[in-house]
Amino acid sequence: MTRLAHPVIALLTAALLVTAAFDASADKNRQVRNDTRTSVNKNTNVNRNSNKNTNVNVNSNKNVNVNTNRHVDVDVDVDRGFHPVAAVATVAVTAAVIGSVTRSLPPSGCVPVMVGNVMYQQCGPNWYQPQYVGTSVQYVVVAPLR
Amino acid sequence: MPIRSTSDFRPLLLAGAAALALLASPAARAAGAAAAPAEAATKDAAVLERLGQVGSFLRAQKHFVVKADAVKDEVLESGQKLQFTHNIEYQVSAPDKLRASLRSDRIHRDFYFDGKTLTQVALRVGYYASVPMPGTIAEAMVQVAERYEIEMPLADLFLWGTPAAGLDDVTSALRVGPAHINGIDCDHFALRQPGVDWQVWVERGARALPQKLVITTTDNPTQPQFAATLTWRLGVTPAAGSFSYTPAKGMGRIELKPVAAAK
Repeated sequence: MTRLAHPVIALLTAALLVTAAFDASADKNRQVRNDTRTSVNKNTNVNRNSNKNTNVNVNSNKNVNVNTNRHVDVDVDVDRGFHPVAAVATVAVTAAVIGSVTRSLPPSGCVPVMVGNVMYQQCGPNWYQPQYVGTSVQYVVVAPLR
Repeated sequence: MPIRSTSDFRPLLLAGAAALALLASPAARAAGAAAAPAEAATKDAAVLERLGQVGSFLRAQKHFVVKADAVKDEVLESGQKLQFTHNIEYQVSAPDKLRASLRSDRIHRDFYFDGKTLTQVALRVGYYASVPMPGTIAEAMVQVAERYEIEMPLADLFLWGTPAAGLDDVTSALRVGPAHINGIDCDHFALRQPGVDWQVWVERGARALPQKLVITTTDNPTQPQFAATLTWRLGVTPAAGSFSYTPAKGMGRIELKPVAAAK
């Protein structure tokens, strides 16, 4: 999820440095430790001793003006189409960096494509491979498959 | 332990009186002195025995459905706590068939397990993933955590009464007293072990079912909690086909990353 401020910020290049600093602190405040246990048995516990799931660092933007959007969510999975704010997440993106990981797809223009036995998402020029990490859905940017 | 002096808690008062009487004896005083400096590690054998009966009773149930209404704290890096609501349902055919429906404020997941394959389905986003998972439900609960970083809520319900129950880890066990949970007479037990303090409310009598479970994560300094109230339907045979997933139209298969590859 991106904060609502993002699309506005992207246009205000003069404010970039300020917003970058603001962004970082805001991100931190949105990260959860994600270590609340839901079972007693230690063998069924997923030991999340680092915040490896929280640093989902999204689309580096190749536009001139642009910032690196950091969409850090409260680290509880949000299904696509469910979160109202997610719709503004990737408005400015034209080309996503291959190998980067995001929690949500662009709000529109994505088409699911089956390649072999596996589903990909094509969003304009960008191809995403959805995958589960634990119970979370993440999208890895991959090289165009067609 | 604070004790409420109301008539509802007569058994507890009696227990308190008995404890006072015991304290008067030199032996009890010596024991108390030894236990006092470090936090008293009382392990009430009767509590552990009762939990053993819970395990035996659970494992004797071949077909059942259990639902849980739960709340779970999530802690922001700032220390601020958020609460999320979870609705959990397990349909079970022991020993190796399970269907799980996990619903929360934020996430909907279904799991299908037929003793051979485990499938995770995210219906709203249209994805599913299947992995080989031969074994029992108890083994699957451990395997999904180890291999795929999936913590099945209330997994203990499937591990108690098996060699992997984990009750050996308990360092402190005490009976808090009688309790009423959803109209059912229960005993309230409080336990401690590395990483978690936990409380369980066990139905009295032969139907030794946990009616409520609270888990406090003590590894986290803010001590977030997961609290679940359970509803049991015993002897319910789930419909055939409940445990194997057949993808609906539009559902796409994706990968479930193993732990090593997820870094």
